[in-house]
Amino acid sequence: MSSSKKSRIVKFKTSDDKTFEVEEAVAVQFETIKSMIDYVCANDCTIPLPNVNAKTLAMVVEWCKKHADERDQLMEVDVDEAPGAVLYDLLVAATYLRVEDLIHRVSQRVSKMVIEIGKLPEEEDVRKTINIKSDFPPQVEEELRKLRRTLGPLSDVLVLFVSSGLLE
Amino acid sequence: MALIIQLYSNLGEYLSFRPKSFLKNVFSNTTEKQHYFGRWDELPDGIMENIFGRLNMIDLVHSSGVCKSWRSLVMQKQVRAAPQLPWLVLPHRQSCNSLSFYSMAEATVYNIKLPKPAQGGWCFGCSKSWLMMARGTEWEPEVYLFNPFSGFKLNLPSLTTIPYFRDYVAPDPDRFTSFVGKIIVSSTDSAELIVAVLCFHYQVLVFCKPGDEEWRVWEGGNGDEEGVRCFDIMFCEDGGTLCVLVGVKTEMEGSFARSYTTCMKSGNREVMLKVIPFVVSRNDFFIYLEIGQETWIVEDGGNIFSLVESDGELLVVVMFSDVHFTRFEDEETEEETDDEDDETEDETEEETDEEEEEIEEEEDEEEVLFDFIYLKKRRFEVLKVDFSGVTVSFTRLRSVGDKMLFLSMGESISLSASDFNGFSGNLIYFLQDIDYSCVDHDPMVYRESGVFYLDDQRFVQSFPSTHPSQSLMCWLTPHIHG
Repeated sequence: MSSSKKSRIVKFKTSDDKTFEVEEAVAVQFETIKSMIDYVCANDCTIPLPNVNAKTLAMVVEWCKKHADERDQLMEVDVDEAPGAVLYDLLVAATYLRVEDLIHRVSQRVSKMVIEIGKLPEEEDVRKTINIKSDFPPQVEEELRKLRRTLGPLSDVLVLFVSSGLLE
Repeated sequence: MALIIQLYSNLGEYLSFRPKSFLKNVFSNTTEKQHYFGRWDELPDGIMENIFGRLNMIDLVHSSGVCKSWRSLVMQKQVRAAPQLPWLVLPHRQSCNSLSFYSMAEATVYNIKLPKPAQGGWCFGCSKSWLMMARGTEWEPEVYLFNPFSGFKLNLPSLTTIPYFRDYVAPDPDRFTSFVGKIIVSSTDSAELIVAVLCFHYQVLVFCKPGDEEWRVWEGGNGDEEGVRCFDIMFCEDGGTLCVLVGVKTEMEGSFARSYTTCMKSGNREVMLKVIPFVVSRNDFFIYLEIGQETWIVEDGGNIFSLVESDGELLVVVMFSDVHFTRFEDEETEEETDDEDDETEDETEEETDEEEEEIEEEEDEEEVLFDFIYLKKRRFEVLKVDFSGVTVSFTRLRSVGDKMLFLSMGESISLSASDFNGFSGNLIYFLQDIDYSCVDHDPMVYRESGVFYLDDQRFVQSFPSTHPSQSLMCWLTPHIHG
């Protein structure tokens, strides 16, 4: 056990082969590796992160710093404005590293996108926010479109979606 | 090698020599080997569930129409919907083929067409996502639970298996719609739910599982027992225990004030029952009248009690109502009285005229009781149930914090206003839930539904008035599973 808790550095290797040095104060927020920090620092190891690229790790680190220092206000705005692909990377990284606050924040943002897409499933622009495509057979897609058009928002349509087995 | 292929595939761009985009392509190619760009359907387990768990039921249903993987996610039972405001089941007439709901969250009315097997029914009330409906003749009504979102229908035993039913409908077949006072289910899941019903003027507690042959009557809750009356029932959040709030007369306090747990057993069915005694004044049981007045008001004469579970606490919400009596005469009443006179004459042929007069007078006095009754809400009180002492105690709460309480003849619900944009807490949404069926003259219109603000003890009448020929309104929580 190292006694100097001051400024230990934890080293990571990202999926794109970049080495990243992270302050211990930040690294302890990664639940996944929290317990191995002592060992890693004592033996000068590098922790491989096969799911996280350098750009995303930088964002996660930034998030953790801001969170620790300034009670997160700044970063929340940044995440809100991030496009779907960035959110995706962040979500994967945050889940892998188990940064609960970040998972929560990103999930919340993504859920809003999911709601928007659910409301306007035929708008390609809306779908693009998180790049999700319909993979229903064309005839089902056509049927859905017809139902939405004739019956209006929700009402009978969605009850049919759920109960009729149309999409099974 | 991969790099070269990438360069060739972008040859056009390469030849047009735009160094910026060229460089970008080279970089993205090298950096994105492990990059699952936007493959949302390939996320590790649990991530999408977590995201979908933040959607309310309506948004979940919407998103099920987007793609296969989302649909299968939504259909999985482990995805729990986020808290959502209940839908108001709007009044409807008997034999309806569609139902209308008002969603406060979206300020929208939704019409849902009933599927064939559920058409032509009448809704008694609802609990969680289940409507309890009946159709057919009043002598042999078919009773079922129906979830308008999943389209599931679960058959319940006939009401005729409840001993008091036939007696109840005998004087007037139309009364069958009011036989059921309060209905609750233990779970949204059709496989495990138990239905509990307070019927016959809240005097009889019965329960069953869908598919059962008959309703099981809880003998301990029999209203014939002097001085005991069920006020409300509620399944605890664990779904297993049924709480029963029982009104106890003051003079019986000593023997009844302890709460106890008992097992309600009938055949192979059993339900744990937690009986909570609530000591009340005489007024909560019977209304005693002065004879000879045209109109009068009994203050707090018709108080109504609701059990609500809120943040793990058990609350009793008391709605204090004044009973307004009015005596009036119309042709109908007179005709009825005449008919009865005839019958009386037939039965008492041998009696003298004097005696006949006496009987008539007595009947008139009874008529007065039922001329016109209306319950007018005055205020609400919220009491916290405390089980820590030897006897159950009730502490009045001045505020319920950011909670919104939804009361109706179905299940009562507590939700946090902070979960919903634009809603504030510390208030009670209440619906008309008084059964006037034993009264000769229905009020022309029921208008005792609205919102009560605990802060300043203010009422707002924000729900539509209903007509006696329509069903009463109730709160339904949309749920597509089970």
